[in-house]
Amino acid sequence: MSYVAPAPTVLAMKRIVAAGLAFAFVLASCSSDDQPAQPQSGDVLIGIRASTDPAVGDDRLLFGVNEINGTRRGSPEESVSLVAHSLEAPDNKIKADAIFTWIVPGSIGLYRAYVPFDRAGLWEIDFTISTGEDTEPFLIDVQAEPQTVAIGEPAPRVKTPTLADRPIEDLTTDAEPLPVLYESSLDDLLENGQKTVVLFATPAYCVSATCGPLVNQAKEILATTSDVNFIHIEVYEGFNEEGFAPDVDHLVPAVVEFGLPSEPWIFVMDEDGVVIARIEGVLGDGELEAILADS
Amino acid sequence: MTLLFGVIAALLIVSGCASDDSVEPNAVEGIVTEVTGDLTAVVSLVIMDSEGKSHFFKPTPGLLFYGGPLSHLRDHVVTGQRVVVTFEAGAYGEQMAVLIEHADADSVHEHSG
Repeated sequence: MSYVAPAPTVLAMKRIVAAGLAFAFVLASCSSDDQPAQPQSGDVLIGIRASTDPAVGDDRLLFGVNEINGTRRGSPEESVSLVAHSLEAPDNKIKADAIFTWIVPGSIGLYRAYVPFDRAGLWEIDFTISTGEDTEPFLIDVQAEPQTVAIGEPAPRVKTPTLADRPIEDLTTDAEPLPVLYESSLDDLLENGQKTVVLFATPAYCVSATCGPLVNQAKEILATTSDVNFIHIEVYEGFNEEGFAPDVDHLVPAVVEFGLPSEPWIFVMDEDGVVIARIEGVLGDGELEAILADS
Repeated sequence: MTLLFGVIAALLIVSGCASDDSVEPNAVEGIVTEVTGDLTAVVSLVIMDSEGKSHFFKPTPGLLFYGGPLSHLRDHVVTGQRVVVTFEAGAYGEQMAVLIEHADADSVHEHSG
C-alpha cells in the first residue's frame, strides 16, 4: 500500500514551532515562589484549557471549570462568558460567550467558545460564571499557525485502508462499527465532489475521555445526513497485533499528515477538499449539522 | 534544529523549574492543568495543588499511567480528576515523576515501566 505524503517538511516545522511555544507556556506557568498569580483561595474557580492546538484565527477554545479541590464544575445552567486579551496588547479585549457540552451527561463537561485571536503569543482568558463565584484567569499559548491542517488549506490526500483491504475489526476499535465509515479511502472521498467529514478517534486507546462519545455522535449524524462523505480513521494501526503499543511506530499516516497532537478530532472539508472546520474533543448538539448546512 | 530545541528546553527546565524545596516530602496531589507532548509521548506535566500552587514535572523514561501510555493523563485535564505524583530530583535538580496515581485510593492503577 502506498500513501501520499504532501509537504512533510512544512508539517514538521509546524510541530517544532508548536512544541517550542507549548514548552514556553509550561515554563511560564510552572512552580515558582516568585509567581504570586496563582489562586490562593479554596473558593475560587479556575479554568483549565482542554484545547491542544489554539491558533490565530477564529479558534474553537475548549476549557473546563474546576474548583481547586478537584471538583469539576459546569452545566448548561451555569453560563460562562469570557474576555480574552493578548499579554502584548492588554487593552484589546475580545468578549465571547461559552457554550457548555456534556462529555459524561450529568457529570463531566467542557465549555467551548469561538475566540478570534488576532496575534500569536500568550493570552489571558478571564471568565465569569453565572453563579457569581470568583474566578481565576488562565493563560493559553496561541500559535501563529495551528499544528493541525488549518481552515482554508487543502486536506492531505492520504490513501487509507478500506474494507477492500482488511476486515472491519482491523480497521476500527469501535465495538459497534458502521461499515459505511470504512468503505472508501480518504483520497478518493476528497475527489468525489461532496463535503467530507473525517473523524479521527481510537475508542480503545483514546487519550481523552471524549473518543467514544464523539464516535457515537458522528454515527448518529451520519444516519440523518445525505450527500456528505463520512469516514472514521483510527489513530493507530496494528492494534490487533501481539505486542501492540500505541506509540509513534503505530501512528497511521493520515494522523501524521493532518498533524494531530491529540485525539479525537473532526475535520470537515468542502466539495473541493478544502478544510472548512476543525473540531477537537467534544461535539455540541447541532454543531456539526450547522457547519454542514452553512458551508 | 530538533537537537537545538532539545538542548534549549533542557536548559530552560533546569533554570526555570529546577526544584521546589517547599514540597514535602516527595509527592504532590492535585489536578492536572497541563500536559505537553503528543499522542505518543509526554514531555512534561503541571499539577496544581489544593493551595493553587503549580508544580512542574518531567516523567522518568518508561513511566506508565493507569497501565497505559502516559498520554492518558490528558483524560485528567478533560475531567479534572485529581492525581498524586511521586517524584525525585533529577540530575539537574528538576522534579522527575516516578509514580503517578489516581488520588482516590480505591482506584489506584499505577504502574512504572
